[in-house]
Amino acid sequence: MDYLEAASATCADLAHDSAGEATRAALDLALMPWQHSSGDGGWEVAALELLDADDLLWFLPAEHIVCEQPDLADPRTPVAAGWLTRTLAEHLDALAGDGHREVAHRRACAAAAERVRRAAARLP
Amino acid sequence: MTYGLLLDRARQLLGEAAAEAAATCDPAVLANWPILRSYVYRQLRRHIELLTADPFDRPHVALALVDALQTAAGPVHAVSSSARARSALGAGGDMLGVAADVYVGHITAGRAQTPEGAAILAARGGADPALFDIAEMTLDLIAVDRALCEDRPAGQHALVQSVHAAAVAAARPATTGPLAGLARDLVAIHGAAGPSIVRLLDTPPLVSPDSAPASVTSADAAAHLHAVRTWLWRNPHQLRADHLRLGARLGLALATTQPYQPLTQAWSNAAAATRRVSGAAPIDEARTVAETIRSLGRWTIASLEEQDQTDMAELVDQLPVLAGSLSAALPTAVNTCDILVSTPVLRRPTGSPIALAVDVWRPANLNGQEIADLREALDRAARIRVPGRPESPPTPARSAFRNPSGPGEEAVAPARPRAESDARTRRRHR
Repeated sequence: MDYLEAASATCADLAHDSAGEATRAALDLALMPWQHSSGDGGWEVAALELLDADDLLWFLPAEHIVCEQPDLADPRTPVAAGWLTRTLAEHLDALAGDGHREVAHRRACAAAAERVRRAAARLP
Repeated sequence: MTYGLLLDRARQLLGEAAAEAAATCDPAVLANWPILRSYVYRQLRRHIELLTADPFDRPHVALALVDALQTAAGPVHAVSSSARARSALGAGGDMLGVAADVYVGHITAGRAQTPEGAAILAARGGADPALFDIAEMTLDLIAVDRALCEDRPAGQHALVQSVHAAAVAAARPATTGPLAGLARDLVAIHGAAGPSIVRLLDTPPLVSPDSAPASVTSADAAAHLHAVRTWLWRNPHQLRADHLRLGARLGLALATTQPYQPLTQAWSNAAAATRRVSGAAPIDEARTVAETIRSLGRWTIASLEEQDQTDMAELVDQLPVLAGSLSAALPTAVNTCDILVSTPVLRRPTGSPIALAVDVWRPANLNGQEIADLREALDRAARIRVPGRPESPPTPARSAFRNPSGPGEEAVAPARPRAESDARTRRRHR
């Protein structure tokens, strides 16, 4: 599975993930272009926001999506990462609004949503 | 105030003391003079002993000067702080005392206490060019003694004549003995070496024990970063995964403020490598340090759109020391089993086309790939400097390390001696 397909499938998964199980896997996927960039693509500031969001979501299961490395020369890669990040921010907003969750976790989700939204604004 | 500024102020006060010594006929001042001059000579001797900590490695001239200063100081007398404060001579001695304390904060008994101290010890041979300053001040103090030995105007009260005669008797050996010749020799030896980086040393900062301080300006942030990286260097046994993770991210955030891709890449690699590292949360002061690093990282990101590169220069200058301190402390943390590393294990959820991997955590091994990758990334970050930046005033962090001659070449950052941690590692793997 290539990065674009993985991003698309993950966005679809997030829509049905009321338990938040796919959240950190999606974050990890959003960080993948940064991890394979060579420090000159402008991914770093967005990555710092996403890493902060990941710290806030320690109570959710940590998983990684297994897929091919993103092709950073492909103009569709930043588009897919941007779409994934915005979907993730909406998903975190939904988790923050879930009244069945602990208040501390809802607050953390709201703070993480803010970070992810800032990351989306700073993607290349 | 830096060591150099304190010495400059002390020299200025000795100049004022020379004028006072030549003219004063106040019996109270003259009565106190031998005690005060002895105090200043002892301070100068302390500086030479500090700057040449190893007596076996001490240059012959410095060795002889220590003895001559001791002779010139004469017997030790207690001198009150109020008496010192009232006189330029005593205040000059106090300035010298503070300067010696600043030095001791970085190098104590010949052992480095900070990265700057390590760089100074690594850079010099047996003696430091800072001896030049002390030798010159010795000559200044001899000039004060000579001024004191000048005759007072005729017709003075018998009391003035007797206390002046006693003060002259105490000062005379310094003006006629070998002291001036030895000091001039030392000036000649170290005069050509140029200014010493010891002059740039300032009191090592301490981390706040209670809470992470908030940064408002880049000067605040630079001061907090200085305190944090000094703490990391001094306390390798308290390093935790949080320090590594947050430190690498702070480095990356600061690197993004500079238009220099190798710096960004080095810190990006370090930040990526820390994603495979976890461990126990820091406690007490170590927790405050971690929170301070986190707060500095947030401040840097928030400042990205407001600050220009020059505002961040003092922070960026400290990145090699930060990386070096994290890298040097890593073996100690690994050996105390405080660091965990992850291995992803594949699992495919039923009904999903996506294959997932979960992290399985285990205690880190110093020879493991994860730690090797992290150390390599940090060591690389410790050797990078930003070329072509407009020159700004020297800072201890910038001056304490030898910079390369060409853009992009690797600078030499100080390393904490690893003998102890490496020995422990060998024992563990025997």
